[in-house]
Amino acid sequence: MMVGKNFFLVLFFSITTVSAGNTDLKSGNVSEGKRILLNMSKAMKSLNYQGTVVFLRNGKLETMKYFHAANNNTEQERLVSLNSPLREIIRDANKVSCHFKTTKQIVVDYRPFASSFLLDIPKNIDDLGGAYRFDLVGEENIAMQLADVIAIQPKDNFRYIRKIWVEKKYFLPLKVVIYDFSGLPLEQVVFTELEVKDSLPFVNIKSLDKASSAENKQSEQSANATWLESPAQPAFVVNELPFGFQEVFFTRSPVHNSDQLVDHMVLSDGFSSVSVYMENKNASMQSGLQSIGAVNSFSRAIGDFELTVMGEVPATTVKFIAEGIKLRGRSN
Amino acid sequence: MHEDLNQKISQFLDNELDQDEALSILQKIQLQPDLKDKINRYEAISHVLKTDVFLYPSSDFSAKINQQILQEPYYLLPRSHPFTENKLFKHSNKILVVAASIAVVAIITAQGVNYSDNKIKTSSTVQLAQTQAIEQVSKPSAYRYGNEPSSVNARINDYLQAHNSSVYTNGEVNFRPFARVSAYSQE
Amino acid sequence: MNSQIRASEQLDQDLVLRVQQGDKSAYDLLVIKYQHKIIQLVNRYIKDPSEAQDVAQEAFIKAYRALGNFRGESAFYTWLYRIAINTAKNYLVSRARRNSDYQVDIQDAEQIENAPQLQGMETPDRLLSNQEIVETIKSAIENLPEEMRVAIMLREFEGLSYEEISVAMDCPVGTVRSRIFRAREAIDSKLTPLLD
Repeated sequence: MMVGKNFFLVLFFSITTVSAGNTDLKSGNVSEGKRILLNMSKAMKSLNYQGTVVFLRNGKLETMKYFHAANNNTEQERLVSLNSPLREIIRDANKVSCHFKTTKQIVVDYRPFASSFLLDIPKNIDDLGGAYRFDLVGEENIAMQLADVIAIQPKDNFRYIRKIWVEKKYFLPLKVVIYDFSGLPLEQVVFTELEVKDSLPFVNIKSLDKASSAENKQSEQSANATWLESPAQPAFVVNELPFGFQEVFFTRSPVHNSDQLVDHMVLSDGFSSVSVYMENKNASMQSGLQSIGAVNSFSRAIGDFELTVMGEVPATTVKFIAEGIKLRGRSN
Repeated sequence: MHEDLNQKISQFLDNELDQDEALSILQKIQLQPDLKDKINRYEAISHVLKTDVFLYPSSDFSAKINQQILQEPYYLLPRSHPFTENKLFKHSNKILVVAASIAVVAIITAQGVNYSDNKIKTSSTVQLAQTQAIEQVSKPSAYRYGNEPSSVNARINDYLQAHNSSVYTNGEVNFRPFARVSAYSQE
Repeated sequence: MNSQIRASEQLDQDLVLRVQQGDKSAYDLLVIKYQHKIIQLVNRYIKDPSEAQDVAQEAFIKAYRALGNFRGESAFYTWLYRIAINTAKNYLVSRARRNSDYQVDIQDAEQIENAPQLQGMETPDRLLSNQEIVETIKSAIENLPEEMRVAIMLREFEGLSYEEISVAMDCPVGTVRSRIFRAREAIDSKLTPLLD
């Protein structure tokens, strides 16, 4: 009897130990996943590296040369297309310049905030624990380099699953995939080759600088400017948001090829971003859901306005956010 | 010959040329300084007749403007005439056609890369491209829940381009970047 | 007349579209087409031909920068004129501030154009030269054969189309075209030596 009791005690403690060990392993994987992502975020900003990257977005495959130059807390991303239209795209903070090589045309775009061509990792990963799990789920070779595979699993159905393959030596991302709920890839960014350099040049195209100064001058002095200084608040209130999403940016400016002003708010949980657009109602407006690759949008009429919510989130998310939006100051 | 051109200039000032002829004479004036002088003098004469005021632009008036414009960014707006909504649908249809055919392109491109360039290891790219290609065939890249599939409309396309920078990494030629028409001011 | 205006507006639309597709040379054609009208318009406010030209150039450059927002709801020249007027008014206000004898703002610009102390003053030599040119042109018109003088006056003062003038003068349209052209050439031959 004593032997049997001891046996069960030993068995009990063994199971308990193993379970504790498994838990430690799981939490270890989670914290390891976060650690790798944080290292990756630092590496992306501080290292000089270049390679060939393939984008598969919105059903289109595009291969480009990629360069990241960094020096003294300043960084620059550069993409050079390998296919027509031949173009070079340069990002300095939130300014994106696109230079078309054949026609010599240059277009300058000021994005709402600085955002990498590859992917963005929020600084506050720990704050996102309520929305995501960050699991180290394995190792694979990408572009002949060994990489940790980090799965960013949402804890609800309001966001997509992401996986990032992080190269082991320098912690640079080699592959990023967004999956739908059935596990099929919606968007992918994959390096076919990547190497770290001691330094890379910052590209400074003179005509881009002139265009930039001319554009700044134009935005100040245009006699026909119809956009306003961003108002203090949008004309709408977002009442329903999934956990972790918050407003990161708002502006009121033309979006279409017209003078009509559009309220544009960007919401983000750090990984997924959602844009809310509101403008005067138009006869050509289409209500309901639409999908473009990983991007879903939901449109509806609200008073005299039309509202569209769009983002790299499931359709249910854009619908949920859109249906919770009310006009400011009204109870509609 | 010059007399013919001068007469065309006279008609041009009176809006008596059709569109093609007007464009033609303008282009000739652009290239020939003496024709520029001629139209300037005709205009000055017309103004004197009406106002008793002689105004004559400097010979480098348009050249100075041209010099400044060369420093300005180019426009690359979508190929839609302000008065022709149909061209917006053509733009949307173009997106749908490209999307619908991407399956074949993805497979061909991936396989071509795989066999033709030993340096580029694209086995994973081929796999993902083929997977995605198969997925694209069964599910159009743009559709509406509960309704028949419809093309991405121009409004949604504009929103997409304002939403993220994916426009720069796709090969669609006619994207409309938000240069010059949007100057975001961050909060 | 309507069909002529439509053809002119259609040309403008096509040129604007070309500019919006990256063809800067198309904008140069628009400048050539409207430079005189814009200088004349601006000069009504500025009253100094030299300054009026500078302001007109500024207006064209502003128009280019705003062309991305031009959606074609008004005719291009109407839109361009509005920019030119705004540019001229802004210039008047800033010029008045530089003189700073009294406070002005944009609403006062209409009064400013009549304020003699702010009007551009021509040099005596330039005044004399311009006056001589005006007199020469007027004299050349007086000396035109009657049918040519009538044709060009109906065109310039009454704004009649060639078709309408042909009805008024009871002659073919081709004859009207020729008379107006020869009238301009005759005046031009008197003007050209003064500009050399």
